[in-house]
Amino acid sequence: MRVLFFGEMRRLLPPGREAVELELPEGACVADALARVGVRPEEERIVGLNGVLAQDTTPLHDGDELSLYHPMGGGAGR
Amino acid sequence: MAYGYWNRILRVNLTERTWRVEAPGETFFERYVGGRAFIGYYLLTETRAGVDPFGPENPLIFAPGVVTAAPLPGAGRHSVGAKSPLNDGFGEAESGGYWGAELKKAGYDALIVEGQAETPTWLWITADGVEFRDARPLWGRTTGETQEAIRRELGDALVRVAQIGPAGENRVRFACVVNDLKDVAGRTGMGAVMGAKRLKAIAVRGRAKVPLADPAAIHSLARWVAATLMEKHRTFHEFGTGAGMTGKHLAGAIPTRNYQEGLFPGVERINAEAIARTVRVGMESCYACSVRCKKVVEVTEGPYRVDRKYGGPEYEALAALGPTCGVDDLIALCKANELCNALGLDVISTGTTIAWAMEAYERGLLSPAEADGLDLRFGNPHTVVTLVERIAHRQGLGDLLAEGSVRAARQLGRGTEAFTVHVKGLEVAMHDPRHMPNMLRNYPVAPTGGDHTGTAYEERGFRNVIGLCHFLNYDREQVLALTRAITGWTDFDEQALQTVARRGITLARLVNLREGHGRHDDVLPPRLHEPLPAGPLKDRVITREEVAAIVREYYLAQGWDPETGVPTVETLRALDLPTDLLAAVSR
Repeated sequence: MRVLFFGEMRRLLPPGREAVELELPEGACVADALARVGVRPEEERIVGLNGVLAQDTTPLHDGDELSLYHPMGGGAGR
Repeated sequence: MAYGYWNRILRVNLTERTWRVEAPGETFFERYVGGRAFIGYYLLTETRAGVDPFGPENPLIFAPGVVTAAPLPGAGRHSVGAKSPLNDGFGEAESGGYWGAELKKAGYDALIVEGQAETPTWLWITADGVEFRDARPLWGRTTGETQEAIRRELGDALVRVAQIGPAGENRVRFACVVNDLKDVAGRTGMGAVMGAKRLKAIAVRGRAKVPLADPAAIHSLARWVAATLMEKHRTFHEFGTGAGMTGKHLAGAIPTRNYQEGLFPGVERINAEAIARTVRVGMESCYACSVRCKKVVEVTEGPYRVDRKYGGPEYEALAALGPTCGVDDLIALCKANELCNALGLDVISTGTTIAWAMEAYERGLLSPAEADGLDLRFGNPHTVVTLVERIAHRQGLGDLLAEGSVRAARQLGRGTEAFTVHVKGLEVAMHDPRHMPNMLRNYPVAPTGGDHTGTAYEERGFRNVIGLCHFLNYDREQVLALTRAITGWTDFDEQALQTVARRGITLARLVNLREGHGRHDDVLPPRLHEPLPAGPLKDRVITREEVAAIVREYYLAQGWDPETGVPTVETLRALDLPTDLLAAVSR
């Protein structure tokens, strides 16, 4: 699966990369992917799965695209 | 005298065409520091209650902080303040850019503009003093034309110009002060106050370095920002604001069609990523900043040409002129943003006031004839671009909207007050409190009203006063360290930081109380208590009890009466503020 990073979440993106490819075991969920890319459990975030809001427990499948956002934005800061 | 200051406050009287420099002394600067606290102090001690925001007795105060002009990323901030013609209370707008730093480098810690010029005037400020120049040929001109004319007249392309556009001249109640054509002190109508003074522009040039207590420590912090750029400020550096807007849509919280909805799929076409792919031609910085978060856009063909000299839209502009008005045409949004900078309008109040009119139109409460034949339905980009110009020039419907959504609704009636999205008369920024707990805590108590910068609380409130950008990822220890390194206040600690921040917040509160804003104004508008019709936030309702609890808790934290929000005598003493400031409040 592929993980995209937006806004403040781009700090987790390795330099020179625009996305991270992940291989996760059968039955993995969103929380597993977040842990793999370095999102802290307590960190505020918005997670999109194939363009729809997802929860930590949402199951993942081959070919999924996960988009990570920080809930802040614009002049409100981080 | 502390480092970081000149002990020089510049006072200009436009009525008498005089100027002088005051030296209030070290205690003054240690106590008030800068920014909002300067503004609050001068408004409380030098103006009477009920002053006319457009009258000569309302001073316009340009207030850098002690950090402003230090050779440090984030040191390009200053505040502009006065009694606001929009919220009728504490008026203040922060700006980045270069102008505030230039004023400091010219040898002034703040500028107070008093009186009212007989004819349009602009000021030329250097270390040698102030010249009053004739602005009659500039009256009615755009900011771009005015800056070019001033720089040509002075023969100096590096002069920094703070100015108003036609919107300020026409006293549009949400007119802004524009610095260098693109760095804007946007909120609460400070441009209208400047226009009422017939003050078209303030050009400033400075060449001095503000003395620092520990220059090596400041240079070290500046190097840290550069060295950790991709770790600490990657998104701001790559995209500026407006990156990740799609997240707000996914969460069901992008302010849409006058805050009636929270889903707007078209956000993908107008976010900072889309801008980077299409119309962006560069990124620029504020004073001494390596983050370089200011995007520059250019459009050279098609119905909307966009001049790069006006910079590019930030998140607030994209959201206020975009989804809030139902618009997802990026080029039109860039044009509307350019016009706001060229004509001198606050993008947030402009977009939100247009959105209010669109809702009134769609509900049949504003007739096609009253709309001057414009198609005022949500989603029409041409209408937004057209109305920006008509508001600035007060033409037709634009004259009504130039009053701001609250006064416009009051004038129109027909129940349209029910969907004005404001706090204390200031239109709410582009962060839905139904989604963002920090905005739920912020909007009801922000001194200016519907402001999103969070300066009602300690961390942001402190940055406001010292003149440090909110976007810089300095941690608390670094903020304390840079304050000490600039000022030489070696014992400046966490307690001192909180005291300085709270002093600024309490001064602003006292201004508001004196002008009649009280507990009843520390609320959210009805629209933000409504549930959203669809999306992940569908069931989220903010109750009035929830807001009341937040407000009460905030009052207690600030040392104010938990029922009335009036600062106690003990709090004023603890903040080392004159207790006679309360006398004006009780009157």
